[in-house]
Amino acid sequence: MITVSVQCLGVFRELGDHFDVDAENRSVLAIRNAVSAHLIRLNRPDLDGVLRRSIFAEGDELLKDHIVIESSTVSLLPPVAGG
Amino acid sequence: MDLFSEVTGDLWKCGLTDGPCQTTELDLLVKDPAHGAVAQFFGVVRDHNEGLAAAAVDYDVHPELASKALAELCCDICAEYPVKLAIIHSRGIVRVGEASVVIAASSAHRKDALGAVSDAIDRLKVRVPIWKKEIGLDDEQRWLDGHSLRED
Repeated sequence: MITVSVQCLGVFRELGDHFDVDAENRSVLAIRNAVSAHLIRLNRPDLDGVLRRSIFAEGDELLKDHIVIESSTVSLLPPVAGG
Repeated sequence: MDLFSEVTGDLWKCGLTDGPCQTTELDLLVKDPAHGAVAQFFGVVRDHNEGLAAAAVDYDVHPELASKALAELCCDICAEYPVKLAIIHSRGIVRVGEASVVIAASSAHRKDALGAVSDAIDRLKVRVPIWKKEIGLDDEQRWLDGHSLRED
């Protein structure tokens, strides 16, 4: 297990600026699953729904779920709504 | 306009600013003696949304990703239209009547400038990592839904 720090953006800021999760490995899919479990533990099924439409990023790179991250910090980006 | 993030190309400039965008002198950003048309778009916070009264919008931004996405958007538009282009977006609180995004394009003839501005705002809304938290008259706050960036 590895601990990953998740930076919150948009609606996920309701959870604070960031939170930590323990993921099975460094793949984005493993991190997504760990975040989903975290949201269920927090009794936030609404945010778990948003998570399914959200994407992770490392630095300025958007990450597909099969990617393995290099660092231990990711950003969690909900659907965007600029303008 | 004070920008906390700015990226510039040969034909374009984009940036992010804290608070509302300035709506004056945008034409200077795209000025070109060979261009006979300047088109501008201001996205302005309105006083209602989905039947609810609004006082302001608080824009959340991922600066690195938003700057990169805006720069890519400018490159794409300038590859498709013979224009000079400038895009500035707000971060933080923007009140009703103030501009949260400003876009200017200049071209030799009007169709290209108008098309570039229209396409730029359409694409910005679905590609750039920016989020809106609407603030009501009673200070009630709600995050607005948007467009997923997921491709997998």
